[in-house]
Formats: sequence, C-alpha cells, structure tokens
Amino acid sequence: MDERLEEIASLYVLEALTPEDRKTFETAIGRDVRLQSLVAALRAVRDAVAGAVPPLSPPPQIRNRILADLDHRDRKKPRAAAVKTAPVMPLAPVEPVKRAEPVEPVPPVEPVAPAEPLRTVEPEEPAGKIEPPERLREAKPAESPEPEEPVTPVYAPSLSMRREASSPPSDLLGFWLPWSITAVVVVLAVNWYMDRSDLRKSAARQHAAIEELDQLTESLRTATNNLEQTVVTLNAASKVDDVRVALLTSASSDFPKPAAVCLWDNQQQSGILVAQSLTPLTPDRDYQLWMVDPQYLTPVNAGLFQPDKNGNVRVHFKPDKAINSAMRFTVTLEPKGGSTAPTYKNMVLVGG
Amino acid sequence: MSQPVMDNDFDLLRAIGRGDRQAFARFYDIYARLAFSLAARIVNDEADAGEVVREVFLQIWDRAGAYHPGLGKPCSWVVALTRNKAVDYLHAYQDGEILRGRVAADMTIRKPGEVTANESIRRKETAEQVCTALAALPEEQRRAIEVCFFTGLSQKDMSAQMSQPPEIIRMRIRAGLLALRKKWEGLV
Repeated sequence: MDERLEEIASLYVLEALTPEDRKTFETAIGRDVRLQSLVAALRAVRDAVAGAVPPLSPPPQIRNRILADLDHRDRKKPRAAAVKTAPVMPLAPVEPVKRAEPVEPVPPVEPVAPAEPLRTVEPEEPAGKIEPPERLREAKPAESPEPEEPVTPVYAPSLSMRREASSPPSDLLGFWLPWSITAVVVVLAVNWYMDRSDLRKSAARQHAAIEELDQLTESLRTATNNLEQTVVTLNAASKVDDVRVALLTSASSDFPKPAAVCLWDNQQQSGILVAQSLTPLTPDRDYQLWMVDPQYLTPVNAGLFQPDKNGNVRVHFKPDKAINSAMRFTVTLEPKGGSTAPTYKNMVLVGG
Repeated sequence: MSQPVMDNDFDLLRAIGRGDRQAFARFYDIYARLAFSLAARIVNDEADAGEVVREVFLQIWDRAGAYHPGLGKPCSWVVALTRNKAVDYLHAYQDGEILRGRVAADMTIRKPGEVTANESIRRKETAEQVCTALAALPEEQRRAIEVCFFTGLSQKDMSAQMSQPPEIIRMRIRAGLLALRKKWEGLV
C-alpha cells in the first residue's frame, strides 16, 4: 500500500482531515477494497486508543435526562421513523389546485350586488326560513333538507350561487372536478417543463466542468511524464535493495513548476539529486536538501545547491547524519549558507 | 462485568431506529462509560463531558435509523461521534491558552496494569495488551496520535504547537498507528 494513502487513512480515522479531503478520501474508499480493509483495521486501533483512557462512569442523572429529553421530543414531534411508516396522504396534487385558483370561474358571481332583502334577516335564523325564489325551490330535491347555515350576504344575491350552495355534494364535485383536474395538469406540466430546463442547464455545466478537468489531467500527465519515466527506468535498473528512487514534486503553490528525482544509496549513504524548473536564486539564497528519517526528531541536512540559469541541477549529496530509513526528501529555500532546520514555509519540493 | 455480544449491537441500533426505548437504554448502558471517559479525557471537565454524552446519545437516537455498517462498527460510531462532539465543546468553550497547555502537558494514556475504559467493551486482558502496545510506541509517535485525536487541532495548529513540520507529524501518526495495527491484529 502506498505510504501516502496510509498516511491519509491514518488521519482519516483520527478525524483529522479537512471536510474536502475527507469527502475525496471516502470516494476513494468506496472504490478500493484494500483501502476499506486498511481503514477498518485503523479504526479498530483508533477505538483501542480511545478506550485506553482512564475509566469514568457517567452520573446516573445523565441517563435520566436523556430519556426525559426523548419523552419531551416525542410529545413535541413524532419520531421520524414513525412518520415514515404512516400512510402517505395524497396531498401533493392538491397544492397546485390552490395555485390555480385564478382559473376558477368565480367572477360571474361578483356582479350581482343587491342584497337588501336579505339584510333584514336575523343572522341566527336558518336559511330555511327565508322564502327562496320559486325557481330555487323547484331546483331542490324533495328530500334535501333546508340549508342549516345562516344565510350571509355573500351567498344571498346570486341565484346561481344559491343553487350551488343548496345542491348536493355530487353536483359540486361535478362542477369543480374538471377545473381542478385541468389546474393540476397545467401546474404539473409547468413544473415538468421547468425541471427539464434546469436539468438541461445543469448537465451542460457538468459537461463543461468535465471537459475542463480532462484538459487539466492531460496537461499534468504530460508535465510529469518525463520524471515518471526517469523513476521507472531507475527503479528497473536498480537491482540493489539499498537503492531508493524518490520523485519530488512541488510542495507549495508558490513554487508550482519544479520537480526532482532523488536516487539514494543507503549502503553508500550518498545520493544524487536531479531537479528541473527550479526558480533561479538571488545571491543571498541557497536551496537546501533535507532527508527525513524517523529515528531523528528533525530532518537531516543533506547539502546546499544552486540550479543553473534554466533552473536545472544535478548534484551528489551526503547527509550530515547516518540515515537508517530515508522516508522523505524535501527541498527548502534558505538563506545563503543554509539553516540548521528547514524553513517549512519555504518548502519547494517534497517526496518519498 | 459481562461482555456484551458485539453482533447484537447492530440489532440494537436497528431497534433504536424503529424507536425502541429499551434497546436505546441497553445501548446506552453498554457504551455510556466509554463515551463519558473519552469525553472527559478530551474536555477535561466532567460536567461538560456529561453534556457531550447527552448530545451524543440523542444523536444516536435520531440517526440510528440511518446507520449502516459502512460507518464502522457501532463502537467505532460511538467513538467518532463522541470524539467530534467533545472536540466541538473543547474549541467552543475553552480558550486557546488551555488548548496550548493541553498540548504541552503530558497526555500519557493509562499505563499497563491500570484499568481503562476499554474494559467496558473488551476483555480485560485485551485492554491490558492494548495499553502495553501503546506504551511501547516511541514517545513522539504516541504523542502525535494523542494530540491529533484528543485535541482536534488542525494539522497546521499541531505543527505550530508541537514545533514540528506537518509532514513529520503526519509521518509519526502513520508509523504509530501502523505499529499499533500490527499488535492489534495479533490480539483479535
């Protein structure tokens, strides 16, 4: 398993990745069974570390408070799971009907204004006691009781409205149903059209983003191709276990271009650094190579160097201390003559 | 102490997801000690730790219906929820000075032979071996793991507080966890 992935997996289980890195890594986990296995194993270790703390029993009142909180919640709002299992009311289609109200043929009611005769009626008096016009009386079915609600001026003036009000519910349905269905169909059609339009725009945006990413990937692939070839060639040529080849890449957006390869011979305790596209130095600066070995608390100085006017360099190096395991190589920009410890804000290259 | 059957924890979570209070109480009884110990270790205050545990278990009640094994074992889920909630408390209610002090202080976990919160979920001998493995780690690796996990500092802040470059800290965390993994896999 790649060391870098192991490092990210370690930070992942310790909850130390940024949300963006976390999301990216979780996508990678989903595709890689070995990574899933590593994460599961590291999680078990993490849990063991978490459990290795001094034991403390929570006060009993915490348990009581939690259960009381649940009671309180249940009173305020039923549990989501219960809501899920409840029958779903077909409310959604009703909503568009409300929005379609302007379509309803109500306006004919408006013009009929004279309501004087009924204003004299006592409000609590049932409508049945009002003498309705003959036509209305004829329209009522014989078994239909008189309307029980008090007659209000709104209903009173219009004969057609009064006829509706006194009609059985089936008549009402028969009148409104086609309009409601039409309104629902219109609203659904509009929604469908808008959704379709949004989807089309979203797809176009995603397509453009994918094309952009493809171009970026291609340019990066081209840029690193030479160095990868070099590493492959060197690794293939190296038959000695003690020889290590490391690809160093840019460590900061301040230094986006450079790249380098380190060839390290552990037995000889010396190596070769080949770098390209380094920024030429001012006279008061040096590039400094460092080697990271876990046995030392700080990186080990491996020498100073300066690139040529094209930013290229090829140097032999020998670290100040004996290296047991060359985990990483870094190149930093330091004051002339070098530093005793790397200036990490000026890190130019890193790799291992 | 009787050891709970770990496979049943999935069933408990499923039952909690359906609104089963008894299952919830059982789950609480299994993991409350671990959660409280971990929270107290992070926030260094038992009253705050109690609040953390309360919020964690209310989260468990709310989210159990959406739990799936991809989130890790129930134990791992409890640990992650507790750690993150405790770190939120730590950063929201305790100032930077206290945090820096905690980084500087010796954060040594229990030494072999001492009782640990692990024993609520693992056999005593296993818990003992975990402590032995932790104690055997190089000091800088153990410290990097502890600071990372128990303080919730960002990599940049850890680097500043521990006077080490982030990559060294990351390297130590990785080396430490992998070393523990080797030991751990020999135990389970």
